[in-house]
Order: sequence, then C-alpha cells, then structure tokens
Amino acid sequence: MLARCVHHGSRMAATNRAPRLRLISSESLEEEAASATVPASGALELGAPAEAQEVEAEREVDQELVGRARRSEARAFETLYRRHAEFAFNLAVRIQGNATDVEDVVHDAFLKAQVRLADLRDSAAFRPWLGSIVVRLVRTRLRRRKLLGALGLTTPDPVEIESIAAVDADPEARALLAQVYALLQTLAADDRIAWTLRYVERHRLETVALMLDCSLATAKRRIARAQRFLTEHFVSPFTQSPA
Amino acid sequence: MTRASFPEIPQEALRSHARPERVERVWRRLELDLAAPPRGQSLALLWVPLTALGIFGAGVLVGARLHAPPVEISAMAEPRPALPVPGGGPAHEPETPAQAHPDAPVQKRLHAPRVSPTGEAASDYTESYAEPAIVTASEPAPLVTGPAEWEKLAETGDFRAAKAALDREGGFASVSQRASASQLLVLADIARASGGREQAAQALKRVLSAYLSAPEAPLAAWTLGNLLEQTGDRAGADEAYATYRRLSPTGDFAEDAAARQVDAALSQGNVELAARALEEYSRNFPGGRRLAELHKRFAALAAPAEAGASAPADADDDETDATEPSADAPGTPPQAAPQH
Repeated sequence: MLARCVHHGSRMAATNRAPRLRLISSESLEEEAASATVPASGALELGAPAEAQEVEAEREVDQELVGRARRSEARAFETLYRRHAEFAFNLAVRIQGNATDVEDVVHDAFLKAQVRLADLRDSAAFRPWLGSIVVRLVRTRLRRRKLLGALGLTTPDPVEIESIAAVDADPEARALLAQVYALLQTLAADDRIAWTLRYVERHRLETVALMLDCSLATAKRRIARAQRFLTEHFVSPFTQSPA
Repeated sequence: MTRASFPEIPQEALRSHARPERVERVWRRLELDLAAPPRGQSLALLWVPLTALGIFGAGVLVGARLHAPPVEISAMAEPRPALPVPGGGPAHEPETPAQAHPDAPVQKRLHAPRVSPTGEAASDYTESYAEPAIVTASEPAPLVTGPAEWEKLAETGDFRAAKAALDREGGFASVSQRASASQLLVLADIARASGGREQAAQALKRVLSAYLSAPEAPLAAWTLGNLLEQTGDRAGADEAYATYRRLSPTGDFAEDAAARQVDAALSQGNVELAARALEEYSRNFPGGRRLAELHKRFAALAAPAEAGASAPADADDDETDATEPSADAPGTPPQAAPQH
C-alpha cells in the first residue's frame, strides 16, 4: 500500500489546516481512470448534478464561441480569451514553478489556438485543448532551459514560492507548497507536469493525457512515478514524530 | 516530523496570476498579432506562384537545351611540330597547353560554324578576300569524334602521308569545308608542305572568314600575311598583317606585323600608305627594332617622289640627298622633304 493523496471532491476548508490523507492501492488510480468521464472543463471534480449542469452549459458556450471564432468573428475569440485567460495563466505558472515569461507563454498559446482553431475536433473542449498548447509551450521552455543549463549557458529557473502561493496563504500551506515544488523541480519535465496537472490543477486523468498529448497509460505512469518519488521524499511539517 | 504522509494541495493557498491589467496587456498584444495577416497563409500565397514560375522556367530551360545543337566542343590534342613559315617570319612553335595566349592556342578547338542566319560571322573578310566562305547552317558540323588520320599524321610531321590520307578522305576542298579552325591551320600546313600555297591561303582565309573569333585566328592572319607577301600579293599581305594587329594588338608578332605593313607599303611604292604605316609603327612601337631601317627606306622612297613633284620649279637648285634618312624623331611622321 502506498500513501497517496487523492482529492475527494470537497475542498479543504480554510479552517481545516490538517492535511487529509487516504491510503489507496496502486490499482486505485486505474479504477478511477476507468470510471472517469471526460469533464466539460477538464477539471477533476464533478460532484453535484448542478455542478455538472453548469459545466455542460460552459461547454455549450465554448462550442458556440469557437464556431463564431472560426467564422472570423473577432469578438468571439476575445470572449474565449477572457473566459480562459485565468486558466491559462495559472496553468503556466503552476507547471513551470515560477512566473517568468508567463505573459509570453499565454500570448503564444492563444495565438496558436487562434491559428489552429480549425484543428480543434470537439469545439466544446476548448479549455483542455488550450491547456495542451500551454503545456507544450512550457515543456519546450523547460527543456530548452535545461539544455542551456547543461551547456553552462544559463541557470535553471528557480521555484518562486511567491508565484505559487497566494499572498494570504497560511505558513503551513506555504511550507507544503515550497517542499512539493522543490521536490518536483528534481523530476523530469514530463513527470513533473503530469503530477502538477493531476494534483495541483486537479484535472482528470483523461484530461491530463490529453494535455500531455500522450496515452492514458503513459499519463498514469508518469503521475505514479512522480507520486512515488514525492511520497518517498516528502517530510510532513505538521506531524511530530513520536518520542 | 514523519515521512510517508502526503497532503493534498490546498487550492485556496494557490495564487491566481490572472490580474486584470495582465490579462488586458496580453490581449492588446494578441489583438495586434491577430490583426496582421496569418503568416502561413501569406507565405502560401507567395510560394504557390513562385513554385509555378520555377517549374515553368525549368521546363523552358530543359526544352531549350534539348533542342539547341551543340555549339562548341573542345578536345585536347598533342602539340604540333614547328613549321617553317614562308617569307622568313618566325617559325610556328609547338603549342603546349601551358601557353595560354591568343597567338598560341592552348587547346585545339573544334568549332562549329558560328554563322547566324544574317551571316554575321562572315565579317569583312568575306568581302575583302572575296572568299565565298559563308558557312550555312545546313553544312555538316566539324569532325568531333577525334583527330582524323591526316590530322594525326600532320601532327607527327609526316606531311606527305598526311596529304595522302587527306586525299583518301575526299581531298582538300571537301575536308576544308567542314574543318574547324585548328583543322584548317593543319590543312594549311599540309598544303604549304606540299607546295600548294593557293590552297594554304584558302584555308587560312577561311579561318578568318568563318572563325574570326577563334583563338587560332591571329596565327592564321599572321601566316596568311607571310604567305601572301611571299606570293607577291603586297596588298593582301598588308591587310592580313593589319588583321593580325587588330585581333592581337599586344601579341608576339604585333610589332613584326606593323613593320611588315610598312614593308608591304614600301614594296608597293605607295608613299602615302607607307607614311601612314610608318607613323603607326612609330607611334605604337617607339623603340621598334626596325624603326631606323624603315625610316631610311621610307626616306629613300619619298625623296624621289618629292623631288619629282617639285622638279619643274627647283630641280636645279635643290641638292638635297634624297637617300638620307629623315631627321625626324621616330614618333613623328616622316617628312617627304627632309630639312637640313
């Protein structure tokens, strides 16, 4: 049995600082993937029926906007941008670990999205498709920085906890994020991005696979590899070891 | 602290980066980029006609090359042995590939007739030598499969055998009609060696009429000048030397050709022509080897003429020695009546 952190659907209350853990077996991830359906927004959590309806409505709006944008309606693409800009910004920063050049990444991602809008098969799934573009751009950037670092031409971008953690985040959460991102920094870019999409951005496995442009099995393997590493190396700052 | 417990990431603790001013800033950049025409589309629009044009041009080029007859084919050949030049001129040195000079062609070139439909290549020589040597496009191309037997024999210096081989191949007249410039020079050598000066002159004139721009042309002009001088055709020799100097103004025989022109004019007794030729020789070759000699000869020619012209008036008074050379400087035109 491995100690895994799996989101349950309900968010951790601000008052409840203690991390909740659920020990699951290795097969649990696969079972979860098998039972999961592709969400409208690509988000992991699909709880109440009302929430699902809301997501479906969002999908329909995206579908219509994409259709209008394909007919070269500038306002439609602007609306798409404004609807998904926050998602793109946060995704870029969180998988990168810092806010360096994040505006360039988002700009390039939307530009590519506009140029390749005709390639989008399911026009309702604009958000995960945009996410895959952002992921590809960040991954390229990370690999380039790593290569340049290996050649001694640059230094790797450090993790900026200020870019990850909210200003009003409590010290414990900050410490948690700092440790998690410090550990993620040592992982391969693909593993790190897969885990971040899954457990920070909280996307479903299918969405993670879509954004990583890989098979579901590969996405799961990457997440599991990163999870194993984090579990082995993570030291809880909240639990006192018994005397 | 314990290991092996891994908490979930609290979403409330994550920072949002979509500040309104940042979102607005990126949108302004996007608006500018989206207003510009798509790069891929503009490139496609540019490449389509360019590609079509390129394919069309390549087709035209290939078609033109397939239909154009070969104009010129070069072939290396062994150097020719030296031949004595009639008239006492310099002997033909064996030509080697290292001698890259208009007078000493490095390669034996087999030229196809270069006559345009307007007969441009015939040049003024066709008229001046009255040589009906305009090569028409229907004529057979020069032999390019390798040197003929007569040519090989001539290269070895066996002109008698070469003449016999030439006769076997149809004779001088037949072969010369389809011979290249270098082959015509060999034909001239064979003719001269067998005493056929007329045929030799004919071959050389053909070089000058059909292949005036060939590297062999200056040598042909020089040899023709010698040949015509030897046969007593002073005017023809003068013209051949002038041609040589025009084709190769700084050639090895340029000075000699200029002097020969003076010689030819003096031999004709043409004072006016001789004065002009001597002036030209003096101007172009101020240190010419034959300058003093030619001045003396010119003075000898000019004095009796001058004396004859002024005889009725002062034949008894003038005791000037007409045979003395002119006192003029080499660069100045000779005076018909020298001053003492």
